[in-house]
Amino acid sequence: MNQDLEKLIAEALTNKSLLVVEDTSSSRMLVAGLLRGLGATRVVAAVDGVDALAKIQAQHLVPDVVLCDWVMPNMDGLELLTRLKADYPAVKFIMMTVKTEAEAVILARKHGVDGYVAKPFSRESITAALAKVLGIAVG
Amino acid sequence: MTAWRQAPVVADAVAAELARDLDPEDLSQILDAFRVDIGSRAGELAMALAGGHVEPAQRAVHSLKGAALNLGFFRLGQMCAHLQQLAQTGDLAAIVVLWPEFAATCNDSLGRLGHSGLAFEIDSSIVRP
Repeated sequence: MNQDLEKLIAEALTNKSLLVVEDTSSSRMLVAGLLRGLGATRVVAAVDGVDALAKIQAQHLVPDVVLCDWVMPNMDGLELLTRLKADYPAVKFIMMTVKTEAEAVILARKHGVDGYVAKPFSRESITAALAKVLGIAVG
Repeated sequence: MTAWRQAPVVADAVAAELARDLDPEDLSQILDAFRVDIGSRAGELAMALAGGHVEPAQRAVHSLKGAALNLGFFRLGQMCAHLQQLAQTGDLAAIVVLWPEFAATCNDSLGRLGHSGLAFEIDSSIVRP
């Protein structure tokens, strides 16, 4: 991975709050750990869409970037995307999913998704998605 | 159809990447959480199979597939992908037939995490192929 890009990402993340939404605990912790490794200092985790909305309301803190699984119980990623974009249009939303077929990507785009990370993910794929949504040019 | 059998229990390249990219304490906690995920998702699958419930079975293997592949546990992840395809067609009987191999694959993964043979004492009494 380009070290200059990682440096720019780290700088951009220092004053950003991030919300990780994923129902499987090891995957949730993995995303949060990778984000911290990239320089994020404010990372909140939620287990599904319902939990994510509850945490946003309870903490009165709208995240700058949401990284969210698609398939989850209670409220899935697509519904969370729809609700967040309705209430907080400035939130950048990255969908992390195995649903990479064209129909799924188009559906997510229709609902306003800003970035897409195919599972299984890596530091590189998360970095690339963050660069896109944060407006950092990949050299 | 049985490609998972040739896959490594853990892909060394992914393990090396994770060791490079994560704080050692974070990685240790993530692998501990994965050990718990294996047991809980396998338990959910066992219950779904025992009750003949397709959707929870699909959800359990989908979730475990993602967790396993993210951490480089390719044999388990690829087997879960196959089980998910079976669940999507509603063929729970085929999953029940594969249950002993699934349990062995989970235990191989747990073995690599230093926790072999913990997950299936209860589950194997629920699912009898």
